[in-house]
Amino acid sequence: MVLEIDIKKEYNEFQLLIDAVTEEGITGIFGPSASGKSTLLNCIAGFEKPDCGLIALNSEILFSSTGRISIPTERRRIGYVHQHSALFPHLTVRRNVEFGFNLTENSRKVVNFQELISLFRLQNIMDRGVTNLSGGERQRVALARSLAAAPELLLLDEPLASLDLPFRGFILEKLKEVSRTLGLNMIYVSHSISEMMALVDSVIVISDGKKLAEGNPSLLLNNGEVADYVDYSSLENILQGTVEEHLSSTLSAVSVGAAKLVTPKLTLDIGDPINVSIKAADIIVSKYLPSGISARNVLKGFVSRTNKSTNFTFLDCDIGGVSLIAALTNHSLVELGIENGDDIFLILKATSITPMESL
Amino acid sequence: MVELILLSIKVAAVATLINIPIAVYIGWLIGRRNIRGKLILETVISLPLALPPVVTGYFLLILVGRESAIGQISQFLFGNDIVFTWVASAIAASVVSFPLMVRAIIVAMQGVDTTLERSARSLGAGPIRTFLQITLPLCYNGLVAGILLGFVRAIGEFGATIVVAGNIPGRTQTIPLAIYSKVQLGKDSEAINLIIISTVLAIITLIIHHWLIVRGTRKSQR
Repeated sequence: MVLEIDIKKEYNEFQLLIDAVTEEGITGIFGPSASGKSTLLNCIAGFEKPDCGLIALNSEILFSSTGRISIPTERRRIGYVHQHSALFPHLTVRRNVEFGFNLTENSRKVVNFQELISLFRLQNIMDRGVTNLSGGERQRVALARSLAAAPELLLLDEPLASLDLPFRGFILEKLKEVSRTLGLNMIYVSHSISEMMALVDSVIVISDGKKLAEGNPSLLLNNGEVADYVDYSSLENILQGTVEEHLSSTLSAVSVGAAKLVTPKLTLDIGDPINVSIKAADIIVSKYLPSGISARNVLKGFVSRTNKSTNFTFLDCDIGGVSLIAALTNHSLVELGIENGDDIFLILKATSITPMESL
Repeated sequence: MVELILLSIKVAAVATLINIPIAVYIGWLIGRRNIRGKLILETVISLPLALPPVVTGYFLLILVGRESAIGQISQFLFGNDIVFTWVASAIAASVVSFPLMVRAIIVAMQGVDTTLERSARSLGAGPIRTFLQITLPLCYNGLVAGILLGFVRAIGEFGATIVVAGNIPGRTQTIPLAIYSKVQLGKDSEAINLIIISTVLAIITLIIHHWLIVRGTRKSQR
């Protein structure tokens, strides 16, 4: 048990009523806008006070209405990364990152400053002001700044929402890396199903201030109640791979697990890690090996699970150990007669694979 | 002449220095906090802007005059009255210039993004450090504008000053009061000299203002 929340907060007509417990790793909070996600984060961070209830982090009480306890934000050791970075505009990148670092006791510091800077590749922008940084750079600085203060829990409020797709890969990868190597627990708020599928270990779905469901992120694909809030057309598979070879002036190849994907030409070097994004709706599913086809990728696998919602079915396909979700209309599914365990071929144009290689 | 200029600058500078901490505090209360009675407080602090300065001067005369509590305390402590001294000039200049300073600071404080202060708190900074290192520097332009606006208003103060401090050459006579006297006495050429000095002082203040703003902007865009 990492975070224990049992709170109530009302304002105007809105009521937030959440009772949840998060475990180790990255917990996603998923919900439509105005569902109370941000208010929940604000209460955890200590920016807002719940009307009543309890919040405890690693068994230490942060807020308790019955015990009349409310630890101020600066003593909660909870990092917060805002959608728009919230970098201090009057300070350089270096002084932004140093801000929390200098306020942290040496004994609590988990990474040294230089490691942090190189982890987020900030070496070349350290002495720049923050007003002219790109969106990706800003978010890298914001993450480094939060981690510099050695938080015990990191709250992320839609940190990728204002970034273009190519910039998201690096941040997602770093979040996974930090969670794994530092054992830092995170709460990741987003309304992007793709980010949830790619990043989080478990998910809490909230809607209209209440908890709707919780569990494995795949529930976002197969829970009927949740289906109403999910924008399936935007579902992307975000896969971690390695640049394998440059095939021509227009094509490269990326290995993801045992599978090899032909992608548009990459600028990275062979052996470099890379994230690629594939829209679930862009994947063509075939029961037979197609021939004489222009698409560069024909991947053999099997259906490990079918997730049916009202109009769509999401096939969880196992391609040499890599999980890839393909979206079909229920109509197509019936016509193809596909069931769990069936062998299938996934067909993908190289251009349907978007490299997320920008910093 | 030099004495006159120095006295004017001294009165305006002291008035401004008294006002800065109060204006920053009130600016923070109104601009950053959700307090009750905000409207009443805003009205009270803006009152000297709306009232004729002579009326403000009369109120001050009642407040710090010989018969008042403050007047008595001053008698007891320093053996002196406040009225008709340079201290009274400074108080008058301070009260009259306060609304201009505080209003600029309120606007600047209101413009500070709450998420920045929250970020600072989540990074381990307490409320005072957050205010000094984040809120205040982000108000820099408004702060500079407010302080210098207050200063120019203080140096030009006439109506309240003449009521509470009089127009005593060498003691309470500042440049505007001196100009008034010279014009009254028909000493136009001496008045014109003082008018030129007034104008030069105003221009210097505006140049300093501009320089501070440009410097602040460059720093943040580096």
